[in-house]
Amino acid sequence: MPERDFSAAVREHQPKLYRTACFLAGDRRDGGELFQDALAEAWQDWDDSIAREAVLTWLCGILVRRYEQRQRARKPAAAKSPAGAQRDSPTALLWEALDALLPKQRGVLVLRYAEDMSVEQIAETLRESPATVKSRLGEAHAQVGENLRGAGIGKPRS
Amino acid sequence: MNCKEAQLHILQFAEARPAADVLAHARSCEGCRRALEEMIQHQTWLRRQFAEVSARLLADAPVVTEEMLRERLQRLPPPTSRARPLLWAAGLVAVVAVAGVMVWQAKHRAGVGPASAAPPLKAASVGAKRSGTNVVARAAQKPSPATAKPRPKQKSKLKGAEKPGEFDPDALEMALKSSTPPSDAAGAKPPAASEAGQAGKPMPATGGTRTLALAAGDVIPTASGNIAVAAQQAADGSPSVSVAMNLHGLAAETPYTIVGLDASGQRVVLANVITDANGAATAPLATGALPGVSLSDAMTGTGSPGWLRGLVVLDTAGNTILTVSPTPETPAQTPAAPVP
Repeated sequence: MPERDFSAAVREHQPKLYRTACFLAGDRRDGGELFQDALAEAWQDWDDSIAREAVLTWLCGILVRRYEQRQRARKPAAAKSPAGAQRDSPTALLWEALDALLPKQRGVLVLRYAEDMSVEQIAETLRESPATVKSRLGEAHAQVGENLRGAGIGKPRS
Repeated sequence: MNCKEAQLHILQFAEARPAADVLAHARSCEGCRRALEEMIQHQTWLRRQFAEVSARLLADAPVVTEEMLRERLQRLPPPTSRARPLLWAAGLVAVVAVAGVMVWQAKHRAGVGPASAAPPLKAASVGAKRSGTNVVARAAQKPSPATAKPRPKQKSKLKGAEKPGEFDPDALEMALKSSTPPSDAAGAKPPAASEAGQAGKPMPATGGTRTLALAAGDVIPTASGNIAVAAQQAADGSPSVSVAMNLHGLAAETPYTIVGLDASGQRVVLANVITDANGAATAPLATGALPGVSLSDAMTGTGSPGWLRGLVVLDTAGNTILTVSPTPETPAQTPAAPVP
């Protein structure tokens, strides 16, 4: 197993991957677990032929698939906010909005806003069609919009 | 663009700016304009919140070392158990394949016994058009639906001990070559069996070959032909027969149809042939086992019903060119080549 190559390839992406894992998992503890599981899986499946510019996409794909697997295996848990987030704070509202999403919707929304990926990049990462990604993004926007509307955010000008 | 389409576009909006047609619709529709403004504000809010939380998370991101990954890997399911579903699927496919082979073998093993369960006989396919009925199949005691299907190959697919004795193709070819068309075949007299090979010798118990002359009709008096039959007795006593027809003196490069009668007396096309530049053609008609029929009946085509019944050669207009006697004389037989 070409460990040195893998370490060098993922080193620069580790912080971003950790951040995405936390957004997906909902807190730092679970995010850290998910991040390490995804990295270990990536280490196992590492292939030298993966292009340098495609490594992050590849890692994110593993991360989101692993997150979806975990969510399928888990019972639906109560919404959680990361430690330290004050109730009614914008951060708590964000986590609350994310917790209201289905795993597939959350994966798309996190890749869109945390990784700033386009629809096409998300589709490539998740091995889905752009139309599917757009549809999930629309569903996620609708769900998040309800939460934000309830909190009085984004009230349009009359 | 209507409101429904515009709302959908707004919800799925993920570009730098809304599409021109959405903007145009939003200018004229108050509800869609509000929805678009709200979506833009929500997205702006989401970006800002993601950015704020991201900054904290990136600052606290742990560095995962190879040691940690190695330790992590030990806790992850090993590759074999991760591939367990695949292994199960492969095993299932193998079991289904083995079961399929066993069923197929059992089917064919059962086919050697009673005539009703006889293995499907293989008819020859000559030319593009081919009727469903096999000349040899007609001699089976009960017509089987399987024999009504076109058979693309001539040789039986039975294997091992269930397989009836195979013909030596050379024996059939020799029989065809050695049977020169009779000069008086154009006459109105019924066709007589011509001897081929070592006439007079007793027929061996394992089988033999036989040729039979065809009689020309009035349309092409110069036409002549022979039927060559090769039979072989299998270990279980049921004979296998191979029948071929040799035609001469016909119009060059012209299609002809060989027709026979099936078990119910219906006329069926056995083969379509096209003559060569010399007006000759050879048509392998059929090959297959005839359980429940004696070897001599199989050779003469006088089983119940005989494969020879009503065998005629027709031209495209439906005129009878060559005929064969429905009750052929008992032919002389030649020993077949030994089964390898």
